Amino acid sequence: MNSIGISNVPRRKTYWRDVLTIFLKDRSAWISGFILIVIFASAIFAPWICSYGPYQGSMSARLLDIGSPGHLLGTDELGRDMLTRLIYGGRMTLLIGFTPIFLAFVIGTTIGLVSGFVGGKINTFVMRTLDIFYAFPSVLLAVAISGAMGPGIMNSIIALTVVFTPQIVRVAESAATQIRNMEYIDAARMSGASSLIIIRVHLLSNVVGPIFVYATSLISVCMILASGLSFLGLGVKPPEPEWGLMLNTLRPAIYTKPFLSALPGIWLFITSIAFNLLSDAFRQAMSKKS
Amino acid sequence: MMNNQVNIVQDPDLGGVNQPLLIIDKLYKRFPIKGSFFSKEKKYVHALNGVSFELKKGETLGIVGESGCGKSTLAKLISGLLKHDAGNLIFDGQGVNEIRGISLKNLKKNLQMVFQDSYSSLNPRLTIEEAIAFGPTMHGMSHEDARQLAIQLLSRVGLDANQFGNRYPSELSGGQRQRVNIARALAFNPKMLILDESVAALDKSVQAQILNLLIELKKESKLTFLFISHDLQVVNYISDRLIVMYLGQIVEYGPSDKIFEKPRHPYTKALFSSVPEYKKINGVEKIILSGDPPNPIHLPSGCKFRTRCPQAQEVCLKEPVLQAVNPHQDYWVACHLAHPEQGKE
Amino acid sequence: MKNIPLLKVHQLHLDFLKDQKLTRVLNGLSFELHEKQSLVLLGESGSGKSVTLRALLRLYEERSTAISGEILFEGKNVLEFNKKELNDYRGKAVSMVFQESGAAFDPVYTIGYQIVEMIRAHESISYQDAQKRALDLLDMVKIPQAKQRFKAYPHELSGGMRQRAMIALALACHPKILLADEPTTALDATVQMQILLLLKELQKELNMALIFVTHDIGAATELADQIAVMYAGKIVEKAQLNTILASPFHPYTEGLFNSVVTFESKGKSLLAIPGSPPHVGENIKGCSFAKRCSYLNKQCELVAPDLLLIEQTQVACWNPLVHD
Repeated sequence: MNSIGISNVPRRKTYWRDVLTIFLKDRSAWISGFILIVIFASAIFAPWICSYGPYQGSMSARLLDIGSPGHLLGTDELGRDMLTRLIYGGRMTLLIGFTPIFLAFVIGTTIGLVSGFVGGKINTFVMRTLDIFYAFPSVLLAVAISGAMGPGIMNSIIALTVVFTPQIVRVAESAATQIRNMEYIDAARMSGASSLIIIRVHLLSNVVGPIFVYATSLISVCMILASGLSFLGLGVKPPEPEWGLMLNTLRPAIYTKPFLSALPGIWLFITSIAFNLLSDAFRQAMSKKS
Repeated sequence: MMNNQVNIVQDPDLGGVNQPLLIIDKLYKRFPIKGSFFSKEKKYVHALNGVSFELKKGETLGIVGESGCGKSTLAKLISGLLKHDAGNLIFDGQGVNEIRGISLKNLKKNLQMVFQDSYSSLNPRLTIEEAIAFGPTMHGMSHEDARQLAIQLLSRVGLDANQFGNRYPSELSGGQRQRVNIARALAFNPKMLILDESVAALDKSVQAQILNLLIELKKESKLTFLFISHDLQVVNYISDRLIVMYLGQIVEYGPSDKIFEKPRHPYTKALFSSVPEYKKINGVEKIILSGDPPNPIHLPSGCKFRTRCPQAQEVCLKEPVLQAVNPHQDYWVACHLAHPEQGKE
Repeated sequence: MKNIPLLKVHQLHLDFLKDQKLTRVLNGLSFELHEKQSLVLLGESGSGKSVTLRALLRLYEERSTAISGEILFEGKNVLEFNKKELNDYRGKAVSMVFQESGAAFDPVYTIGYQIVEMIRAHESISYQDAQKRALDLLDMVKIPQAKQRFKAYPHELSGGMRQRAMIALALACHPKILLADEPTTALDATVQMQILLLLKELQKELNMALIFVTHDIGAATELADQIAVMYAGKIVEKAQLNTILASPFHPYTEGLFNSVVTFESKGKSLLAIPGSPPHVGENIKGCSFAKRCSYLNKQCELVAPDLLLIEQTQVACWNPLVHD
């Protein structure tokens, strides 16, 4: 016997909860998550953790080895504490690595979904225009745009957003094109819903998963590109700590202090891998769920 | 707790009581095939080649045919998912060509479809309740009322709202999903329901349940059904009148009883012969066709069936027209052999 | 009919391992098949009928499947075949026609090549001889212009032609048993009939036994000598075609026949079986049909019935229907 009335059972968002459950069981997710939390936390709480300032140099204490008293990871070419510089540098790198992807995700998903849903000539026009950007290797494109706009954090972020948006548009458009032909979209059309509502209610939730996974896999690439821009003098300016920039300024010391010079690179490497592992674990959780 | 019956109010009959609910007049539809960049000749799939019929209020019209006959295209044209190339579509007294905006939205309310694939016709991310409640909210119903309507409809189609309302489509069986699809269509309080192969993918025992449900619903709400299927026995069971289609045209059209009793078009005879039970009932000659249904890109000239017809004659090079076989003017066949006078003109 | 059945399946249990859980798909399946006999496995989705055919050819993932019981082909247990014996058995002794002809053919080779490859995999004859045999086979399945079609790729053929080609492929080595897994379900009505009649003809011509899986009773009546009705992983009734149509003993069989829409149903309410078939792998105590059965009593819910012989019918039911 069912009572006709308002059902009191609350809505369960079981899909994402299930994905999260599978995700949390994955060991690589824990390891990479832990690494990232440490790096993020240290970046945020840098002033309270570090005993030195990032600009605090000393001409007499230059290029001290790893493990020197008072400097756990040594000092750089201007006598500044490496560990402090690395932690502060994380702020920059993460900012310039993360923000473009976030912006590209929002902008790219919107363009891709609308274009893919509408289809036809408009879609062709949008996709072929983006192909022009896509045809350039990302490094070249980033350097070109950044070079044209000049160095600086803001310009780097803009340049990198431009580089990554086409890639996300492509993924979003392809997902939208697939789903556009599903019968539940036909049913939604027949309900009198406008295209905008259909995209928001029916398309978005089905498509955001794969796009999210793809976007997170791009974070590490973006970070490395951002560091690369700084390395070339197009991003962060000295004396700001930033891993790519640090690699550049430590270059002359490569033959005398190889490990010291490589430290920012190793930091970059670990962070990249952590993001990749996280993204991969999420993708696996999603594929196991379906 | 008040026991409100929530409902979308059905539009009054615009066309008048005696007018057919749906009039299809010489409908054409073709799809271009993407040829190579350099080919000058443009190829088309000729899905519908001049289809005309009427659907009276309260009746169930069945449409049968094999793949390539155009019945799915017809469903999409009527439901507004595709635009026709030529011809007229008049629903409830209004030409579908002419209306736009709010009127078009109202039209969609009155005409709903239940699809074949019960799985892909439900958004996997919405719960059952949400899926049913979505439609009415597009027509001004409040979310609360829509949810209540969804619960009512779920029990109407035989599913316990408390048990199923919060489930996702992947957790339901095919038969249960199809019930949900029916509930979703009914949520609009439509005048007409298009059932496009809605029971084809179901097990036979489940099919029987859904057919029973459809007939019950029809009796209760005086719905008009357009029932498209390839299963002759199911179509015979549920329809009052029948259309047999071949390569985008109607070859036979009339009361389903009469057609099943004595089919006149050779294709209809062949189609019926393909059902093993059929020959036991009627002494109708069994016709087994050779070859496959031709593709609708290169249509044969004259009668489209003549390339496979065992009774094809010279006169068949001339295209046959639908003509009445009885004075009542309710049974039409498009075949020279059924109307010997046609070819002699 | 010889005394030793050509194929004897005895108490076949099959479980699939998924997400560390065992899902029971076949639940004590037993039947016999004699030479030149055609057996139709009739059942709905989840009954295990397709799995049965695949099990007969051991076409399952060995690592994630638990199988017990016996499959005796000419007295030898197929489940104990080593690799060589299995390769000789598959395609040569027992062959299969699949439902999706598009999926069963490799899309990058011509159908002629694939038939030749099949022949030469089992017999050591020259390419020319194999080619000639393949052309004969294409003629036998009534594919017109066999020489041109030999060089065709699978996607160039229509559904009906592809299905015929698949039958030719299956018959390439003159198997003793032909298994057919709903080969006509995906085809148009008029083509379906052609294929059914073709199979019937070929079976007689080549003296083969046939096991045909379907959910369509009409197709079953065209082809069957015997019908075995499957429900929830086991056979619940098995009898000669005429016997089972005239007097079914199992309530499910009766319910199935009653719920099918026929030309005579018009105007009457359909007698649908309430409820739905159990999910694959659902563990049910007692008879798996009990909760949908209108004749059930206490025993049905406690103990699962075995196959009993009543007159000429094998039926697994505690309360088989009574016929005058």
